[in-house]
Amino acid sequence: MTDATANFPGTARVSQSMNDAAPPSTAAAAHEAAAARSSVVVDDPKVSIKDVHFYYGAYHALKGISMPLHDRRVTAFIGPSGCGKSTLLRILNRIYELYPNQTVSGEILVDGENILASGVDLNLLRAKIGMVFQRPTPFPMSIYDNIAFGIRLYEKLPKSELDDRVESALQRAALWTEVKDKLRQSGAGLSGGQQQRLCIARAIAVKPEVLLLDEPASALDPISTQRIEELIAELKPDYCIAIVTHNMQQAARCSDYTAFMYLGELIEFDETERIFTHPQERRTEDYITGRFG
Amino acid sequence: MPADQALPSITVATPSSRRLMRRRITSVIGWLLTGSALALLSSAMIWILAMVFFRGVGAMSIDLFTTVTQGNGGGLLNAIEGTVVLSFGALLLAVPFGLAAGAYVSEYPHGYWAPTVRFLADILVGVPSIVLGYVGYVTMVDWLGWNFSVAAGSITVSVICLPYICRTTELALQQVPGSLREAAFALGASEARVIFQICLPAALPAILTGILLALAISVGETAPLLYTAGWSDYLWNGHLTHSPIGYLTYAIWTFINEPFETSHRLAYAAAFLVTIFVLIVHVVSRFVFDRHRQ
Amino acid sequence: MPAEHIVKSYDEELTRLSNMIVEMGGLAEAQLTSAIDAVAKRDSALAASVVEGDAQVDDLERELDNLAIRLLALRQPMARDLREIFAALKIGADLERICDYAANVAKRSIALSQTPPIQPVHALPRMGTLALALVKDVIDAYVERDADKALEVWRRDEELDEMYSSLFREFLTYMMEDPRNIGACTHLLFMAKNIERIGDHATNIAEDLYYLVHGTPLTEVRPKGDKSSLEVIAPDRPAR
Repeated sequence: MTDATANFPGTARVSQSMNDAAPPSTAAAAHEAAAARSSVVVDDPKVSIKDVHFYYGAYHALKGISMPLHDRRVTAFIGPSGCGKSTLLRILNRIYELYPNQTVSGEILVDGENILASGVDLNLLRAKIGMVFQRPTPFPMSIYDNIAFGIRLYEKLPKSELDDRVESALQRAALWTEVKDKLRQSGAGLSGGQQQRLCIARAIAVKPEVLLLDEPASALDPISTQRIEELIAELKPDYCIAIVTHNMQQAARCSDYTAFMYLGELIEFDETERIFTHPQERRTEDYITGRFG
Repeated sequence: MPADQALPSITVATPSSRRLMRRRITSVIGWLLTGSALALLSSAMIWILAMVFFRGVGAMSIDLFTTVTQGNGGGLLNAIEGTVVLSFGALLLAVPFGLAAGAYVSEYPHGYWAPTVRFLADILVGVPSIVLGYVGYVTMVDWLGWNFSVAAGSITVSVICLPYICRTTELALQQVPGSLREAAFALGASEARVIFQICLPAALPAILTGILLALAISVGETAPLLYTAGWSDYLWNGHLTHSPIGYLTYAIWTFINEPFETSHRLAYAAAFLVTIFVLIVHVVSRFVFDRHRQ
Repeated sequence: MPAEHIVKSYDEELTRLSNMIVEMGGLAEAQLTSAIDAVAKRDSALAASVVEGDAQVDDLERELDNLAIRLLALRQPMARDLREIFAALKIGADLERICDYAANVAKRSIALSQTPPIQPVHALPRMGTLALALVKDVIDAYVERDADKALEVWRRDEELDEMYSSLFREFLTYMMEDPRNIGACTHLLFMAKNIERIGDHATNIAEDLYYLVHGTPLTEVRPKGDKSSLEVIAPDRPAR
């Protein structure tokens, strides 16, 4: 089994490295360093993004992105508005295909298979890779049906089993105790934070392997935000999680790896601790210290 | 802050009295204009309603609802039944096609037929209903040989309702936030499921409102039905063709011209019923829409 | 120099923090210079003023700590900004200790000047001057954020340590030759030790500066020239 990370060219553009004495931070080096440091063996990445380019019509939105997403870890995408982080996230479950004039090139390997290839079953892909959006979007149906909607797409379960699945999804999303008496009520009657947890429960009910979170807490108040962050920490051992956030402190708190993007390019990818204590790239440091962006 | 320290004085900037005067005058003029517009519209509506109400109420009786029209007098049972049958038939045809067209135009705005469908709907709205009645007469009553019939009448009225339903459905579906669709797609739902299980239910109140409005329109149609449904003093014979049928608007149109008092009373009664029905439809649709809004 | 923060007051506060360090550094140099002078010239008045001046440094360090805490709480500093604040906290503590040692030297010089002058006392100002140079250079390195200069200071401390070792031996020998010198020599021993500690704190500052600039700590083992803790001095003639 080849080491997939060896395929990654230096993702950090070392042209403007500030510190000559510090070792260059390529994704492969970070990966090996992490493996050497931690007692848990970090396997081949669950998701490998390889030289992905993305175009909105003629506009070149993503330029040659390559990075790994590791299983049982949280990877955060940060960067100023318009840098392409949400665009990249939306390629991972091919939701961009809902809109015309958007093309992608490159490969994205999930468990070794390229999901950008033609002939991939989109519905199954989206069952494997779940997504939660910025604004909570409960469906116009009861809370129970909201959760069951995804399950019913793929499985024909007897009612008792379906009940169990719904309950366990709500439990995992830390919402069960609050809604167990009103499962038949409309999802729209919940508060913002609860609705977002409902959306998370809905996404994990279909038992995905990868979770994509697009600014999941940016529409919520601080307490709800903290609950979501705690939820992410609880879900981490079972999923490969990618989170887009423009709140740097949230990225610093929640994630294990951080990718800094700017104008469609991946500027730096490294362990979160290193990115936020001493990043290699001048642009990364300028962004996280609030000198631009 | 220590108590003995005086608060800084705040000067409020007051506009000069001339500017103030000008603003006041402009405001008064605005209120006068809007007030008179309101008065004009309300008085017109009140006058219509009052006239219909007072003349119609006087004509109300049990007989009206139990007997059929007999020449120049009698009741309106056949007309009421006819209006119900024709409107129901019209909606039966217009709603599925209108919903489908509206859904197509909304969900596939770049689809091959979408611009065409939209264009045709816009044109159809502008076609005078009497012209549609004429076309209905030539094709269905005459050429197809159906004679005056429920089929011809319903089809013609459905064609009138169709563009309204299509347009309101399209607008209703456009109001559904894109994020809702994306969330459903992100779970792996197919397009059909997204439309039928997510979008249509979400847009339902607005769609229902559109259908109710189409109903109100169909109830009030006169000219097209004159050419296609004819008139009958009797209840519906149950056939779709060769079945002239009565309807309330005919009663209004015809009987007001007759020199008989009984006829006039039928006319007023019919007008009253139609107006009341349209009012109820509008109120109900408002209720439906508001209740789901919150 | 990196670009300015989008929020200007953040830059101003960081600059203020840095200036406080430089101010404390200047005070440390002044205190040490005066202490050495007081020893060389046996000037008790000068020594007393050094002792009093230590309170000013303590106040400054407290103010520095407050500003640093405020910055940590309110600004959520990252990367280099975080390292600046962290380094400022540590360097402030080191500078405060340097001033304490200078004050100790001054205090002991008062006692020393009341005893007749002895020969080895001349070695002390030489050692003090060396330590002063270390402090001066490391503060200069801080102003310029120059890690190479800091490394150079870091290495020069070995010389100071060696000087301390030889002084240690010299004082002990002197004490053994004539027990009447024990009083003065003991003071001198402690003063020499204080000056050696000043050098150690200067190397601490150099290490903090290196971390500030590079983001990784200095992992080399510093060469230590102080062999005095392993010394056994035997008397020339047997005890009476």
